[in-house]
Amino acid sequence: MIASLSLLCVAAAILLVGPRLASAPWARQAPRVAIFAWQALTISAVITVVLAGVTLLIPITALAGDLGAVVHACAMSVADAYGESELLPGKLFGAFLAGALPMWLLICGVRVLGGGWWSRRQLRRSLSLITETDAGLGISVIETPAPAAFCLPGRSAQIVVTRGALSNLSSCELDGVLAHEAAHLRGRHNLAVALSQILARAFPRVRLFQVATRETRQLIELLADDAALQRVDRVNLASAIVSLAEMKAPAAALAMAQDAAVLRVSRLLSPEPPLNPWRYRVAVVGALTVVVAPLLIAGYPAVCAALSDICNIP
Amino acid sequence: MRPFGELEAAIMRDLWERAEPATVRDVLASLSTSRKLAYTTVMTVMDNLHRKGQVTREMSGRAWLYRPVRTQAQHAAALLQDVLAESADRQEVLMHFVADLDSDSVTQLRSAVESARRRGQQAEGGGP
Repeated sequence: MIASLSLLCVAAAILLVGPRLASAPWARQAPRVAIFAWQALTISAVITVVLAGVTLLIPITALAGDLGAVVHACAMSVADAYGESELLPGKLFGAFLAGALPMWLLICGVRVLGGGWWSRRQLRRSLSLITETDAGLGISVIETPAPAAFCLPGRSAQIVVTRGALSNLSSCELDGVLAHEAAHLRGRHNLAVALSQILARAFPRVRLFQVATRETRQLIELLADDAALQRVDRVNLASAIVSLAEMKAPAAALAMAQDAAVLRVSRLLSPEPPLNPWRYRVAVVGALTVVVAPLLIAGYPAVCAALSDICNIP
Repeated sequence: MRPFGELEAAIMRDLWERAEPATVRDVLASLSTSRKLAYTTVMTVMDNLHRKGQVTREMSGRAWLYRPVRTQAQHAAALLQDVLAESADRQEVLMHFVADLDSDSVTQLRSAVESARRRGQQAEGGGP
């Protein structure tokens, strides 16, 4: 009972405090670590809640025996260590957290990943009719004056650029665009977005998951910009962003997309120093701790039961 | 916009490559070089394309003459617009280089880039 309650408290803390990571200034300096931290926070929130359900169920199920076998303690003392949840609401709540919740996540996962796969398949088929391959650049070109540049991840990943964009970008700018898109594909950034999307879709009311999705979307752009800087210089990459935006007809822009582009350009033009190695380590260890802590809390009573070495047979 | 099926796409591509309208027999002849197709199959698919509004047809003698409603460039432009609208916020499907911006921020960002470029050139020119 104590374990379940502590886990629920930890989950509540993660859900409440987690979104604050969005205002951490170091995230822009180390986008890769920041994405990892968001993944750790969101996954940990889910694990913690599921484990709270599991620990509620241990006393009434065969789990106690299995767990006892693992830690070399008898089933009764393991069940005892997790406390009697005699109350029916407790059992039902446990079953809901440990059973229904993972099932719902699985359904949403299949929906998001399957939906993405299906949309990409349709897109590839549509695009195949209007694109010509440019073997020299290794990209697909659409013969239309409208400007656009994007990449389509997946099994036959491709970078697509319109003729309008190709003829209006300088060669340095074009290098920047291609390096940025290639970094998305190489890093499989779509998977990071999909993961956050699954949780956000499964629990649309939970703020942590919404913020994590928003931040992940922005951070993968910073990550791809950083990778592109190995091939082009900062000013040309920033110039490519502005040039492509200029070519598009001025639109009623989404505030979020707007902020993201402004952040990218200003970050390129006035670079911040790389993250201090110590702060880097603290961030990584912190993210790992958030994932491991709930496992320790959930396992603690079983370990205690094993250490006490006495079989409590009532 | 639903994507064309495989045979539909092949037929549209063939029609676009021709300068003038074509009969089912013409299309069949040029597609048959790469694969074996029945006349009725091609006729059915071209009829479907007509029903979907992708091609128009007029009777010439005893056969229908088909021509695409839109040129390939027009189709590409319309399709691109669809793709961009549909996937604007679906990064797991496709990732754009840059989203739409309003004209004020574009102007501001452009002047920031140009002044950074000038600073860079000055630093280069002023260096040893």
